[in-house]
Amino acid sequence: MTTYVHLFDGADGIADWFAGSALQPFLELLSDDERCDFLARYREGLRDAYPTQPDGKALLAYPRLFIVAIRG
Amino acid sequence: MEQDLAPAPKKRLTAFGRKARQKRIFARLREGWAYDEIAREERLTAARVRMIVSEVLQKREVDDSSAHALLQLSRLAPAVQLAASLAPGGVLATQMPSTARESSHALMRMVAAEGPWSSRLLPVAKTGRLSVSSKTITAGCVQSRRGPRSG
Repeated sequence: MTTYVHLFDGADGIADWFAGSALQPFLELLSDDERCDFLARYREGLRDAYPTQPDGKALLAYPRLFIVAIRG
Repeated sequence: MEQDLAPAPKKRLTAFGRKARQKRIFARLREGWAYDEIAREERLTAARVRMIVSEVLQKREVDDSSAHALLQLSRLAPAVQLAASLAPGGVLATQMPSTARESSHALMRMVAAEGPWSSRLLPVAKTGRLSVSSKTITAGCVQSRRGPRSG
């Protein structure tokens, strides 16, 4: 397991990144209005969890699991 | 999904209730839930969930550790399928995000569960992890042939 740290322009940058990936299964079940509301709540939570650094950036820890299988 | 919800807390379960709970717990394990997540849903301690799993495995009169290993392996089915497609001596290298415990993802589940959309999104919040991981395993495999992945 390796944890990569990604650099974003604040918590909103993190929200935008996930909006195109992990949030998709949620967002596709919502109407346009609900989607905006959902993302607003998500951004707000992210701001608490990923505080902005003095330079305006936010750091996101992103663990990846590496697996190697060898067939005998 | 409705019939999978935990019964009211602090109520002494009947034999039927206990059986239903065992079934839910094993279904969750196969979906890839962690013991503490199952415990929260069932309003039990993680230690109690472990005990229930262990008791069920023992009653089936099979070797505890091998049955448990089989259960864990069933969670890796997509990866095992890929490995089985290798030629003898072949190597499969893959990676997958392991983000379920990160605040970013906990927060998604929380917003999904707490908003006016909770009835629609809760099933996704609870099963999303497994379907996402099996897709990611496949994607990672294809990527590993083409070079590193950016994000």
